[in-house]
Amino acid sequence: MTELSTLSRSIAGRTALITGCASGMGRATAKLFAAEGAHVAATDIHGEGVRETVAEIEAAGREAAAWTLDVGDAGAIRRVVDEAAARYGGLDILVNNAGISRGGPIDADEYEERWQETVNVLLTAHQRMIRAALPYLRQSDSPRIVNIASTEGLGATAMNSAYSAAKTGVIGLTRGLAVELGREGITVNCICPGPIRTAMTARIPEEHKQIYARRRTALRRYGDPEEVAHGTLHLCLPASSFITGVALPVDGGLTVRRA
Amino acid sequence: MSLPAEATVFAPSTSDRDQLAVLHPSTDLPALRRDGPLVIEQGKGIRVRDEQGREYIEGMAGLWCTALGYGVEELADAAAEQIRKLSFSHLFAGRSHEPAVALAEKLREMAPIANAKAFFGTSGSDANDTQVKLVWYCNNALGRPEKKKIISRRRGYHGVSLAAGSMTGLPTFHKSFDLPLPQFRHVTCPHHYRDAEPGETEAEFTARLAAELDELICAEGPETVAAFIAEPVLGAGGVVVPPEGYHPAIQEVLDEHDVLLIDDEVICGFGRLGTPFGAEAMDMKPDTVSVAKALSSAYLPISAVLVPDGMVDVIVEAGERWGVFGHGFTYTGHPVCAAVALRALELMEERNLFAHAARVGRYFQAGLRRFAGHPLVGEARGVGLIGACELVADKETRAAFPVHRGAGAYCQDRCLDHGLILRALGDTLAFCPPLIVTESDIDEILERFGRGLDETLAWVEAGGGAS
Ligand SMILES: NC(=O)c1ccc[n+]([C@@H]2O[C@H](COP(=O)([O-])OP(=O)(O)OC[C@H]3O[C@@H](n4cnc5c(N)ncnc54)[C@H](O)[C@@H]3O)[C@@H](O)[C@H]2O)c1
Ligand SMILES: Cc1ncc(COP(=O)(O)O)c(C=O)c1O
Repeated sequence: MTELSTLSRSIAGRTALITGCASGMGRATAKLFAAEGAHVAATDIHGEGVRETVAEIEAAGREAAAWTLDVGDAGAIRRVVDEAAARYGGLDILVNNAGISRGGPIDADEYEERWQETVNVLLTAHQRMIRAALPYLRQSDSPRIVNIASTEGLGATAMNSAYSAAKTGVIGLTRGLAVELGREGITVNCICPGPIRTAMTARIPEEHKQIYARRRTALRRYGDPEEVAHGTLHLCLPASSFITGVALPVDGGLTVRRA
Repeated sequence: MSLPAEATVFAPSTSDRDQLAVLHPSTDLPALRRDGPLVIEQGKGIRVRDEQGREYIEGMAGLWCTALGYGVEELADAAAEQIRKLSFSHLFAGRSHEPAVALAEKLREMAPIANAKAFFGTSGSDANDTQVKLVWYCNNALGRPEKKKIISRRRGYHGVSLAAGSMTGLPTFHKSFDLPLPQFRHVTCPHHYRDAEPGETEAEFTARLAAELDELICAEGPETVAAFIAEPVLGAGGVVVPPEGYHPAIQEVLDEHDVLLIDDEVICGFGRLGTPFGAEAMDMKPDTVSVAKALSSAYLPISAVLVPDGMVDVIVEAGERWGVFGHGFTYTGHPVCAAVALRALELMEERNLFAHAARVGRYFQAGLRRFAGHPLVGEARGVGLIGACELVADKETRAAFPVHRGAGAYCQDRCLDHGLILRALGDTLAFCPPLIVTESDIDEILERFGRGLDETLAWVEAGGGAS
């Protein structure tokens, strides 16, 4: 039997900076990465929430540190990325996860304002985070960038055009940078979560979640944040070295189901 | 209002949720389960929007009811004001309130009968049930307890509750519901196109229907027949305008046998035919009247039975012997509904709506008649702002399409594709736009209908639905 190569299936000892860690998928990703032995630089606009995430990680005997970071604030991004890299002696993984969602029709009075805010947090912030982290990622032997997009970047639902535009933009940014940074061995991928139980979907009553999932997804259920975190983890493994530029649906089969 | 996007994206649509929680009225339920509902979300003027944001002209004024169109601020204000002032009070046991009294006065002034008092309800059906109960009560009071039978027409529509549903003359509303009840009889629909004998003129047809009614009353025994109920123009039965002279001929028979005429103005009332009431346009001399729908322009549910003082006197006198008059609904004269209805009637006056309806109604009828030459159209008919085109398989023989072919439903769906809501009553496409339509709105309605109709013709010619 020929020897299989022994690409690492572990992120132990690597440093991951994650945005939006106070809740939902960001929190689940921080906890999973820490449990896998990574050093987690956990950030969120919500200082108290992110400190809670870190406290839970530390209580489990793992390594993480919290930063309050509004990804809409370009200056703060540079400062926090530098601080995190300084603390852990570099950066291997960046997960752009923080997000907001604001729906509404195209002819709404507040559309312009909503568009600015949405694009700023969901798209512009991603490139800023990446630009701030790039000098450190370039030093890593397995540099990984994962952006959290959405199935709304693959298809669309009415009354969500700003969100959909931003998420489609995230996929475009991912592809563009995958090609641009590929020669440096930096992989850039994105995840397109489908219906996931997080704060964002909390106001949908459980019964409505079930109706939706039964009618629309292949697996007939909503997903949990950990299930997305596992998808992200997979893309961040050193062994995932030949995967780049993909938009991976983690959606229980939402996008493939026709009827 | 800004909902989180995910909260709408990964949530079931209203139509998905509908299936779980709602039992729909008057619906082909298996088809609904297959196709899902059309969810209407907003309305303004004569137009409504569905949950996807698609706009339609409401060519049916909802269910023949939204006379003033959608989104009238004055009516929203009237409702809000009344809710703030007195959201509920009733008319039972000696209570009264200003909105009910003011509306009753207004109806007394407008009614097509003299000296009318109003008994309020919330639907056309309950109004017509009330009609039956009042007639029965009066005849008991007058010492002729056997005079109870009610006669209506086949294809008439008077609602779905037990008495109203019994008077309705459409099989769908009877079969498997154990209706009609025993006191109800039906006579021929005054639809010359469908019900006349070959070669029979309108006058001959009318004379035959009057004779039929006379024979029925004689056969039942006039002492057992209490009332005849009729819509001035039949609506839900397919928009049937009776021949000229029909109502006077029927009236003669009713008078001869001391049978009351109940005028069901639920659709025709308040300008639909271009006159304040259908009775005026159709030459009817009713004893009592039912109104609903346009009474409040469908902003809130309200109906009224209008009965003459003389009949009310009989009921009041009976109270001396029988005690409490035991009929009434919690929401009889609901103050908010009454306030909104009164405001709606005022707006109709302020805007000269009935005269407007008469004028655009003539324009509409002329436009609709142009479809009479279309290969699919057997008859284009109507009066004022109510009309219909009846689709037929053969114009010469007037042969209808087989029911299962669904030509009317197909045409209705194509019109919907073109942003026009019509209603297929079998293979008859009904039109009943809000009374506020303009001539250019009518052009748009008829243009969209024309496209839907041509597509239906292509489908019929290609053998669509004929499996
Ligand atoms: N929940 C879903 O079904 C779903 C589906 C597809 C995509 N997504 C995406 O997943 C990502 C995570 O969302 P979630 O579902 O876990 O929601 P969540 O609301 O539970 O978490 C989002 C986190 O982002 C933080 N955040 C918001 N604005 C921020 C800012 N300006 N700077 C820093 N942090 C900020 C919030 O404080 C919160 O902790 C988002 O990008 C979202 O668009 C979610
Ligand atoms: C002439 C007529 N009478 C009575 C009714 C019943 O009214 P409702 O549906 O409000 O009970 C209708 C309803 O379409 C109608 O058209």
